Amino acid sequence: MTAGTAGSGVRVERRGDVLVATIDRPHRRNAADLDVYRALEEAVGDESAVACVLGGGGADFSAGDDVAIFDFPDAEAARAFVVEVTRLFRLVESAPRPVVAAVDGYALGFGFELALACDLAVATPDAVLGLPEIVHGAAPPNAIGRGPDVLGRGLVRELALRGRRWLTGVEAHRYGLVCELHPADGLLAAAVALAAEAASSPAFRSAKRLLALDAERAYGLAPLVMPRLLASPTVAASRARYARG
Amino acid sequence: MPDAPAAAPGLRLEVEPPLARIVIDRDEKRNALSIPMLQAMRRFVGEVAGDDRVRALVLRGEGRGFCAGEDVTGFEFPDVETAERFLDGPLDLFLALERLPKPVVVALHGFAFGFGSEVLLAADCVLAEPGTRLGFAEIDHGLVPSVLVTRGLDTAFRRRVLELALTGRRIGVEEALEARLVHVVVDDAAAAADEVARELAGWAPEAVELVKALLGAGAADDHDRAREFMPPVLVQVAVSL
Repeated sequence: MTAGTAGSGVRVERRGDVLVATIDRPHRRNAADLDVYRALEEAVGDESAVACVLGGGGADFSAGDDVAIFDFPDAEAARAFVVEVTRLFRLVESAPRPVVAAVDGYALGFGFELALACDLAVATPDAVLGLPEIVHGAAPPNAIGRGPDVLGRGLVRELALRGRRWLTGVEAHRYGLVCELHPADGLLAAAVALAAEAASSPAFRSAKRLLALDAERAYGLAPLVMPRLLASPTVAASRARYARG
Repeated sequence: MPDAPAAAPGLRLEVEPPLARIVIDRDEKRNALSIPMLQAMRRFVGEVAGDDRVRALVLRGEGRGFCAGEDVTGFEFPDVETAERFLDGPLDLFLALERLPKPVVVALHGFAFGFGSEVLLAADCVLAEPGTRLGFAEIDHGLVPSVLVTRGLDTAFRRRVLELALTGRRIGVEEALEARLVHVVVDDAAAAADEVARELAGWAPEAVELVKALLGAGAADDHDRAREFMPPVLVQVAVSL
């Protein structure tokens, strides 16, 4: 077992040949900042592992982007951030090994989009998955880019525009976002087993390459459209509210 | 109170900022849409787009049900050109709804057949009362629910789309929920639609505009495909009606 990247907000360990990266910022409900993105990119890109499991420490997967970092003086600054997030999703989809999400508690916004980008996802029945960006004056471009393939556009529309309509793990399973449900105490082991099983298939790489052919279309939208929105006054006001707690 | 309601036979626009409602009110024809009604609906969507006080649109029907489809008594297409001109009506309307930078909430009750079900593919949130029947009944008339088989593919998924399009089978709200044609089942859909629309009207306009633009990105291509293959089908049907 190797301890990983101290201070990045992500714990990295080995379970056999499978690398487990755990977002570990429970005081922020595992909301992600730039350090988290970079640490996850590193974990997903680790060629010494046969597969990668992404999970959350404590009670949640990830409650979203940490809006505390949404401090963009202009669209150019916001663009650097959006490019970083999009890079992570592209890496997850292009990694030549399985990437599996283990979702417990909140998987909101970024957490939802990350689970969606993964090849497979497992969850607890009472996990909570949603796209609340619109409530804060932002938008979930990656969920809109990739979501219809997985969930159907009808459901993505509702989640993206209603903001507070969240799915339970059971619903996410019914709609195909999650392929297995497990109790919290067996979730990680199930994700590791699933990842190892997928990695053992000789055809895995080819299948994944085929499935990811349109990833460019799915993730190409965010850098084009998001920077201006993230630099908007509504988002700044939302950040100020969160900063006050 | 709604101000200055714009009237058209069987169809009206109520503007009650931040909401606007398009109400189909032609119970004697089971709210079937005539060609002038389709044109009026398209105009209303344009008015809603241009009215900055309006931040969400509700679409609903008065009487026994939401909408029984397009009024086929007006269907007469001697040639492909006539059919093309007719098609512009519904297709421009669907495109306008997807391009409207404001949420579109639909309240269903009773029945939603043909156009009544197809318009759901351009809606952002659909609420339905228990017992509502839905269906793409076009095949009964020798027609094709073209928007379902183009734009509907990634809303409801290919397998289900094929079944609904090829059989014209009527489905209940439970099955419509599974197909993501309906989002919420609720006893009073009209009241609930207003409530949801008011909530959505509260979001930042620039965020709503962007989300809707992203969701509607492929709409024009999908509708162009429908525009391409439908006219000969319509000419054929005029012969058989």
